[in-house]
Amino acid sequence: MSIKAEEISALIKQQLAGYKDELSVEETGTVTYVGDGVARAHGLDNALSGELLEFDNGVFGMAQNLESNDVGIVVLGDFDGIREGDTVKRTGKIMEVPVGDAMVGRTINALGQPIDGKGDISTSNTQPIEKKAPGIMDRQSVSEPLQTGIKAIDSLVPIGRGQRELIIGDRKTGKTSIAVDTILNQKDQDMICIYVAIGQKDSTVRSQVSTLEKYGAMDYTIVLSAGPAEPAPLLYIAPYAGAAMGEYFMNKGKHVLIVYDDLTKQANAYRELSLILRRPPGREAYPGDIFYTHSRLLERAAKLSDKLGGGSMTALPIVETQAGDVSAYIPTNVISITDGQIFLNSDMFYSGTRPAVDAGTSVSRVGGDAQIKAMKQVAGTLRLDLASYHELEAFAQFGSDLDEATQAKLNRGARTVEVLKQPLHSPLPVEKQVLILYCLTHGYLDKVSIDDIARYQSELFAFFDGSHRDLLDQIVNTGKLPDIDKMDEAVHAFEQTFQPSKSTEKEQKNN
Amino acid sequence: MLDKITFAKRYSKALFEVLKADGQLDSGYAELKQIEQIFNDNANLSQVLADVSFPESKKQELIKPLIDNADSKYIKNLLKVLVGAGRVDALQAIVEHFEALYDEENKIVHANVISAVPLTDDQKNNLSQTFAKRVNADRVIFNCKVDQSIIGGLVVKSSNVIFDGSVKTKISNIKKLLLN
Repeated sequence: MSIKAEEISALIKQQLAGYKDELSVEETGTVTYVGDGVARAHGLDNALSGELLEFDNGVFGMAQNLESNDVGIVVLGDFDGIREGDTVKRTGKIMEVPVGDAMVGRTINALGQPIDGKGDISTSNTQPIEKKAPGIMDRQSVSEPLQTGIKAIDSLVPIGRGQRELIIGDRKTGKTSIAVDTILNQKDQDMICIYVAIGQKDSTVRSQVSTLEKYGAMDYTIVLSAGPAEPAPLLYIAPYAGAAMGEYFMNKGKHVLIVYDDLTKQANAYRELSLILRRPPGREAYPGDIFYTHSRLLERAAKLSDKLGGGSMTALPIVETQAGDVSAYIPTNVISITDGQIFLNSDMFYSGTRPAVDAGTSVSRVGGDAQIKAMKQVAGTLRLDLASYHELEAFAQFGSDLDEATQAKLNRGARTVEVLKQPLHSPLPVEKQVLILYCLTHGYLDKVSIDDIARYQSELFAFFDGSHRDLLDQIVNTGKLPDIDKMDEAVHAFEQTFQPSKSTEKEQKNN
Repeated sequence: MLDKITFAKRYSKALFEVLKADGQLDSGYAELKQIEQIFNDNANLSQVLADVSFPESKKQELIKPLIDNADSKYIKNLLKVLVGAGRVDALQAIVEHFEALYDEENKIVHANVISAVPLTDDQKNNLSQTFAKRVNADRVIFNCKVDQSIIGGLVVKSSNVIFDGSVKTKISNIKKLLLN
């Protein structure tokens, strides 16, 4: 053993120096009811709403309902050890979680404790989980883009840093994949990402974490998971805890991306504990303040003014719909709170258009200001192209009977849909997105068969990487489209080398 | 039906106010304590009186001597009302809340004192004077208990507040300090 007894005793003395011998005066109450993650206690006359309370067995609770005779407490942890007649102590503190740089790269629970088996997190900072959102004068309008690396989103529903963009869709339509791909694309962007998994299966979260690890994204990501086996109060506080951790970085002038996956489950958890606390149920049995639950959470996403360091927190809340019904209670609430939504269509998903972003119903209310100029130039007509394509799609089967203008529109539309397809976990840098969209909107793809577009794209990127890196760099550095003649020249040069596949040649001959 | 505590709070407050208006607070309080004692001694009494399957006439018979012996007309009426409403089970809670109101009026504080060794009268006097000053009361009534598990020092429990100066708590605080 290398540790000496003297060293240990010196250490103990040092720690004991902090001990003050004083009378402890504590306000207490008596537990009268325990069950379903909720306790009621008599006494505690001066308890504050949201105050942390300590039970006899060391478990903490949060005062939620202050009533004339008793206090309703949600138990944050194991409530099996609490008995009727136990005492509950006031702590005088509001619920806090640890925050700090040491959290990055870790997987934690809703209380900020590590659950990844990598040992303790050494951070002395804590932040209250409930905090008022920055006010009007503390903010500035959203101006910098947050590149998701997904063509369909960066071109049609651009997201800015500090924005709140909802990802909404049925189960199994790729909502989480969009969020994870966005996190993957923040590599080397000086962003901190926080992925808050609320009620997600532990196995799913495990595979999400391995994906992030595989692509090196855990270096700048915190994963906060409140699994389905945790009591409802922890699911309820998880997003607030995540937001508190994000705010720490935002206030230091950093850029933060936070994903709440998903708020439907948080609403369910809150409904559960509200009903057990005997609050009156409202629509769909949600309590009266369910709107405020989400609005105060999402309001904490902000782009801070330059005076406060100019940091930002971008929120990507996820909401699950049932059979595409966006008029249910939680979806309408969250749609009205956020600055736009990405709607994922299950029909599109199953027909192979992935990501299944529905261009017609997806919007971004502030993102347009945050798009780089080059992207605006090439993506301006995209939405219109898609809309007219979907309108005419029904006539597509008439084929050659249609007039040329209609045929051209159908052609362009089919290619647009094809270009916007993107495989999983392969985010594209913005300059390459601009490049392929440039080829699309300038008609270079009209001659290419639909089956060849994916190959065309990858070969085009390889060609530009090899011979025209300067043009790509120019887009990155200036944000503007390079000289059109130069672009055209480069694309022409590529077309000389591009070989259409054989099956398509045959097809063309038959036509 | 109102829950027991809300019910008891309302009735005790009403009783307190009428007794105070008539200047019968002290005698009323003593009487209530006696009635409570009767109910405490006969554990089944309140249960039987609140039982709906027990015939009404028998209930009246049972309660009659109690009512007859009560001096205050208000307390007589209270007993009649409680029996009529089938809420005799709330009587003890009513007395408890009445006591709280009475204590507040007269600045009396009840406290449970836990010590490791029995306290001498001198110690008790000192403690009651200091404690009365601390909680701003005229009179302190102690209910002393001996519990060796606190090792040393004193624990005073009074209306939802614990003043804990026990050695046991201090040791556990030191333990927490060292482990963190």
